[in-house]
Amino acid sequence: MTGRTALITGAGSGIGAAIANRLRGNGWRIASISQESAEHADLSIIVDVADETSVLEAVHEIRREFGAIDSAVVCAGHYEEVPALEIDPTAWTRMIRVHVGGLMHVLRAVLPEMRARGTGRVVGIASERAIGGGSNDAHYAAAKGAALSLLRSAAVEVAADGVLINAVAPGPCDTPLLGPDSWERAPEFLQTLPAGRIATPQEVAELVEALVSDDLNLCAEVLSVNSGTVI
Amino acid sequence: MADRSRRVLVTGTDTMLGAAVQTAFEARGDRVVGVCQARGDACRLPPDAVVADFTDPGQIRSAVADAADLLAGLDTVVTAHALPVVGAVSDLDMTDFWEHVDSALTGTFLVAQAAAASISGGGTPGRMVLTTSRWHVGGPGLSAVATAAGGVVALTKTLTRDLGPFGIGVNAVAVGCVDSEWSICDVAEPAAAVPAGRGTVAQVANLIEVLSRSSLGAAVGQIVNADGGRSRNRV
Repeated sequence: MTGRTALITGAGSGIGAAIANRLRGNGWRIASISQESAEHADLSIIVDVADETSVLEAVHEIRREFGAIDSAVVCAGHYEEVPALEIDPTAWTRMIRVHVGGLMHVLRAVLPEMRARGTGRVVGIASERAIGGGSNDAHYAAAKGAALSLLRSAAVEVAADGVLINAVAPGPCDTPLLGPDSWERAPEFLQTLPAGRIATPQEVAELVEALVSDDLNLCAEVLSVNSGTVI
Repeated sequence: MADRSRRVLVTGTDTMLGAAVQTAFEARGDRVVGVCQARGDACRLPPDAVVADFTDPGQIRSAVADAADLLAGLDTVVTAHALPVVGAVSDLDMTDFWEHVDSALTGTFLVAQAAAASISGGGTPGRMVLTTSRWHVGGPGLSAVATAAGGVVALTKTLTRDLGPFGIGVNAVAVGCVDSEWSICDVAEPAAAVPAGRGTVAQVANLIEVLSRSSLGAAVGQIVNADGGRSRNRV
């Protein structure tokens, strides 16, 4: 047991669940904030990360249970494919609130205490879409791009206080979000990738663990695990 | 530790970064052979290093082959042999300019080219991490450094595509604001421009070790800035 506590949003499934599983396996206490119950968590709180009040209350509960939060991993997300001209205001706002709000709410909840202690790590799960855009997901790409710039600005603000904020940006990843019929699973697409395959949630989790555990002095940096889709 | 004991070739184990990389891998139980350039004082060379001129294709091929023989194959290659040349573009001696570009850029290419055959011949996934300077963005007095670094950035991306089908994953680490022989490139940098503060070669070596893991086979083609948040850009 490392005695360290990690807050993970979106630990109920996919990449978030893999991160929780890996960190917990290496001795971390895991507190999940997710819309789903998290199998690999010591404390699982059902929350919509788009609601700041709920996030703040959840963080208070985590502190009551475990004390200080050593690391936060912001993984909760939302994705849908809609052509740009058909994205309605409700869908657009929901995407922004989940990705940008979800990050901002966690930052505002955990950073003051981390800065006061002079130590802490935050990792945001970004996306290759934040870097290269996509198709039929303009609201998702915009939200991810906005969240990445928010993350970088926050990282610069708090680094001098000993808090390091970085990101991991997956490309197509073998999670339930990527449907079995997705073109990104097709052999003809995979053949075009330098890695010859899509990424796994375990690879994302391994990079997250390095960012919250290792002495790397990275700040506002993005570690991409995208099989070479965006170089 | 993600991998079994790896067989690692590190160029420039006589530099601060190269030595730190060797230490980081060996601390994890990996076996390392260094390839170093004779820089005039043979006594300063690490005793276990293979010597080669990084601008000479024949010497590089021979040195890489010797290293592969010593290790009975190669799993991982890290290039860290380059040292900076600084001077105003109008004053810089072209001999110095070409010496840096030929060693830092051409030497990196020659090592990667020679090592790729040894890695792919082993039938197991391989990893390469090329180190370069974060000053590929250019800077005063850094024409030689920027030239070579810009080349290494593009080389990393192309090698990723060329070597991926052979099971070799390539990434680069763009180093800056780290205390080393390269600190001379940062003299004009205000401390406030480096959010997390200046780093150490040991920290960069830790990052290189992470990127060298075969368990991260989908992490390829990336240029990671190891500069305490100075760059914050997509390369």
